[in-house]
Amino acid sequence: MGHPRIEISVRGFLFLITKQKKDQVLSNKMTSGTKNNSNVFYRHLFLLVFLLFVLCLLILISASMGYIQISLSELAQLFTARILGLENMLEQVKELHRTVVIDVRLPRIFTAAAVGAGLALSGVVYQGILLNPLADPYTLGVSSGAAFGASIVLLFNLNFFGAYTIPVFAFVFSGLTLLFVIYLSSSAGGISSNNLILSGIIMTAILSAAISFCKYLAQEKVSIIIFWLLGSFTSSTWMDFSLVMIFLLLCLGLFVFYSRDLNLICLGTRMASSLGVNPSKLRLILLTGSSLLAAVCVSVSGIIGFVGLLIPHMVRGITGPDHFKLLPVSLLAGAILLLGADTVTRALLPSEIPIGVLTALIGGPFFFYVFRKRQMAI
Amino acid sequence: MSFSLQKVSYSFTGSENVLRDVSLDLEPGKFYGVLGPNGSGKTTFLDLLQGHKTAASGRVLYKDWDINLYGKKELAREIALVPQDFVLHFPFSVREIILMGRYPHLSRFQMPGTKDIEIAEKAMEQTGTTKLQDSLITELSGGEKQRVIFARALAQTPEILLLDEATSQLDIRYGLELMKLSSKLNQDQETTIVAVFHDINQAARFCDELLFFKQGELDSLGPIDQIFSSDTLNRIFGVRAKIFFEPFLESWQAVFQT
Repeated sequence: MGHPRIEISVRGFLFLITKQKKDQVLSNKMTSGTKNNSNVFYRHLFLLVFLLFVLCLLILISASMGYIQISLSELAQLFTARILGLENMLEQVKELHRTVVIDVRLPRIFTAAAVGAGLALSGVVYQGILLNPLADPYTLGVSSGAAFGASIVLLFNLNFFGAYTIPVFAFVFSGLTLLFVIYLSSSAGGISSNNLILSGIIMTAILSAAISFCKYLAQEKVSIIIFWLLGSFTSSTWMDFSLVMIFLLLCLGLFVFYSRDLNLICLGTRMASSLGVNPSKLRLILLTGSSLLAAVCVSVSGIIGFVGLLIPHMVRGITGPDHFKLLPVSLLAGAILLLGADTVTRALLPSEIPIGVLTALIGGPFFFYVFRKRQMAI
Repeated sequence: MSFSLQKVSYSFTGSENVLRDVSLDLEPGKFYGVLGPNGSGKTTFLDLLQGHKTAASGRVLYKDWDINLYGKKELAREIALVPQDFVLHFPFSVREIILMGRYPHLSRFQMPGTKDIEIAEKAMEQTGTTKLQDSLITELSGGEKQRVIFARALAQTPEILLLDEATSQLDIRYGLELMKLSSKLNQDQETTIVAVFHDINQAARFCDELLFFKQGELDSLGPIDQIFSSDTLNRIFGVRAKIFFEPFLESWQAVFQT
C-alpha cells in the first residue's frame, strides 16, 4: 500500500518548511549583501527541485494505486518502455495494466495536477492584483460564469461539440462574465481593486440566481448539474490535460515576466505608479491571464474550491511574498495538493466523494487554523 | 524648468474640478512647499507631477516635454514619491521594500548588483532603518513604515522628490530628521523637492518657496519672505495669523487664532 509513503513525504515536507524558516531568519541575521542573496537563491532552487521530486513520486504512487494494484517495478518498466519506445519491453507488461495506467489513470492524474497548479497560480495573481490575501480565482465570478454555462448545457441537453460541449460553454460563459466585470469596474480612474471585487460580487449574485433557476427547471436532472458543480476528474482525458497545460505554461511565462511589477503593485496603486508601473494596464493583462487560466481549469474539472486560496497563503509563508519565487513554488505545491486529494478520493476512500467537497473539507479547517494562529500571534 | 504647468485642469467623474486652470513653473534645485486646506487639490497636484494622473485639459511639461511622452519607468528613475498613507497586506521584508526603489534602474530580470545594494544600505542608514532591515513591513508601526517608504524613495536616487505629508505619522524627532535630510539632499545634490505640508510652520522653516492652493486653484506662489504673511494665511485658511521671526529656528513662524 502506498499511504505510509505519502505520509512520510508529507512529514518531510512539513519538516523542510519549518527548517527553512529558521534557516532563513538565522542567515538573515548573520549575513547580508550579495553572499546572502546567492544563498537564498540556492535554497529556492533546492525547494523547487524537492517539490518537483515529490510531485513525480506522487504521480508514480498514485498511478500504482486504485481498484487494480500495480506494482511500482511494473510501472517503472512501463514508463521506461513508453519513454524510450522499446516495443518488446512494453509487451512484457500486462495489457490490462497498460490500458488502465495509460488511458485511465494517467490522464486523470496529470489533469488533476495541472488543474491544481493552474488554480494555485491564478490565486497568487488574483491576491496580488486585488491587494487582498483573501481573494481567490473565483472572486471575480469566473466560476459562477462557468457553472452557469455548464448548467445550460446540462439543462437543455445541448450537444454542439460532442464531449466538449460542457467545457466549451463553461469557458465561453466565464469569459463573458469576466468581460462584464471589467466593464462594470472600469471608470475614469482606471480599474481599482475595490471596484473589481464589488463587480465580481454583483455578477456572482446574479449568476447564482440563474443557476438556482436552472436547477429548479431541471427537476429530476438536477443531480447531474449538482454533480458537475462539485467538481470531478473521473472522466478526464489527455485532451483535457493538454488544454490546461497550454494555458498553464503561457500564463506562467506571462506572470513570471511581470513578477516584479506584481511586487510593486502590492505597494498600492500610487506607489507602483511612482516606481514605473502602469497599474491599470498591468491589472488588465494579468487579470485576463489568470481568469482565463481559472476558466479553463473550471471548464475541465468543475468548481474546486480552496486550492487557489490556500496554496498562495501557505507558500507565501515559506518563500515570502516575492512573486518571482512565489509563482513557481505555488504551481508545484498546487499540483501536489490537488493530485494528493484526488488520489485519496479515487484510491483510498471506500467510495469516491466529489473532489470539490474533499478540498473544502480539508482546506476549510486548515485555513481556520492558519487564520487563528495568525490572530493569536498579533 | 523642471516642471511647467499650462492651464491644467483635472476632475473626477461626477464631481467639480479638483484642479482648475493651474499655470506655474517649478525650477530645478529648489525646495517647494505646497499648502492649502483639505480638499484643495494638493495631492492631485503631486499626482499630476509624477504622471500618475493625466490632466483633463492643459499640459504638464517635464523638462520641456509633455509628461505623457515619457515612459513610466523613465519617469520613475527621476521622480520619486513618498505618500502619506500606506497599507500593505503582504509581508515583504524592509530590505526587499527598499530594494524595490532600485527596480526602475534595473532591467526586468536583472538582480540588484553591488552598487544597488550600496545605495539601498546608504538609504537605510540615512533614515535610521538599518536595524529594521530584516523585519516584516506588516509588523512595523506607522512611523517606522513611513521611514521605510522614505528610504525606498531615496534608493530610487531621484532628481525630484515628491513628499505628500511624508512626516505626518512620525514622532517629532524623526519628522524633523527626515525634513533635515530632505533639506540636505536639496542643498548637496540639488534634488528638487515638492512637499505637501500639513504643518505650516514646518513648511516655513524648510522651504525656499511656497505654493498656496485654495479650492482647486493656485492662489499664490513665491519665496517665503514675500509670500508668508498674515494676509495670505488669513485668505487661505480663514484664520487670523500673526507672523514673527523665530531666532531659535532662524525662520519665520506663525501662530493662529480663530
